[in-house]
Amino acid sequence: MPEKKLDLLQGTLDLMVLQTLAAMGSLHGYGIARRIEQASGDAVLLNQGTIYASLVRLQQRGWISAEWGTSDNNRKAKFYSITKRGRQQLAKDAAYWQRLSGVMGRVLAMPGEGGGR
Amino acid sequence: MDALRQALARLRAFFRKAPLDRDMEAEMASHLAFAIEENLQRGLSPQEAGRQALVRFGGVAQSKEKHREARGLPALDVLIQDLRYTFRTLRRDRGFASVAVLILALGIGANIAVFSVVNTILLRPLPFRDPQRLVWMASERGVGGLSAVTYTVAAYEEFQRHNRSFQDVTGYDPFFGDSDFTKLTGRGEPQELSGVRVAENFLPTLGVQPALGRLFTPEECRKGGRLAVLLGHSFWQRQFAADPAIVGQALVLNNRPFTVVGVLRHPSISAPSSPWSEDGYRRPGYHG
Repeated sequence: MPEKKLDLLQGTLDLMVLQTLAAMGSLHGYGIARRIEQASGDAVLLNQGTIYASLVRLQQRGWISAEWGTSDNNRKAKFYSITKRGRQQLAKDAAYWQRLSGVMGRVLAMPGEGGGR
Repeated sequence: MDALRQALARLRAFFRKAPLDRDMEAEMASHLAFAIEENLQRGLSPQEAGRQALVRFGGVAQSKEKHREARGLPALDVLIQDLRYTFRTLRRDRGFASVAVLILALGIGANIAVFSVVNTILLRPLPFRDPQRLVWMASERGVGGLSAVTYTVAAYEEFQRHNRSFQDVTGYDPFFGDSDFTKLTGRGEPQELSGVRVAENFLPTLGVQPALGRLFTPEECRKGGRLAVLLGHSFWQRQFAADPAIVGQALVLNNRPFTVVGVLRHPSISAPSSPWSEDGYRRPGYHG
């Protein structure tokens, strides 16, 4: 039986979207969703549709901007790119997540009677 | 800052539902088109390509709903929906609606009636200086209503002599309503006025100041002293056209000449249009 996919923690999707846009430049919603899936090695359970709620939220906060355009294969799509304030926010959030995951890693690495590896 | 920006954006979105919905649907359609295209390139049949694109998208309706929730003011949307539903239900069942409206109207009306009484009697302070420090002394002699709770002048003077608890004790003649004390003659048509005889310290105790002239002097309050009267403000305006020269003139009340020593401020203490008067305490005749 394949390993179950990870549920996304609250707030993580927004950060993933920001990071994807920072790394890849301008992308449409489908492109962002596929990038996240690929980057996570398809380990994340992502209903691609949920990405649009995240995109609206980020746009309303002024962290990304959107514009309709035409894709490589001549299809109309809305393209998103990260703003300057979005980059600042990304730096802050990324630092927070790295600290948090570092702490979680150390705490979970504590040797114990049961459950230890 | 970002939170404020987001709140404003949500508010804007709330009023621009139709264009934003069109935009969202176009965007999601293009998303599915990309997905199908990629699936076809991977060699899936057109049918399977469409099916898998929808599976990966994960519920178009739910995604739209989430999009709208993130975009606008979902709580307000729900409230408006509920209100619409309420009005539809009420319109369908008119009998119930009219009974409900009637009961509400009666309830609100009764509340207003009770409140206006309570406000006048209990809540609104008396129009005097330090109204919370005023006490009305009444004896408990039972039958006869207010007529039975008066004191004799002698008792009143005892109170004044032994008073320690109050800054001052004062009194007025309570039987002024039907007295023929205030029949005004010699100024046009004779007329009945309402007035009240008060003790020397009555107006100062209540902190009442005259608008014109002065309050009573001790000399005017002694028995057999000079007869003096203070006019109520609106009576003064009505009867004497607010003429300040009235102070110092004489008024004939019950065939006795009273000097007008002043005019009270507006609003007057009790019934408007009552000339306040004082001719000293008449010792007998203070019983009911």
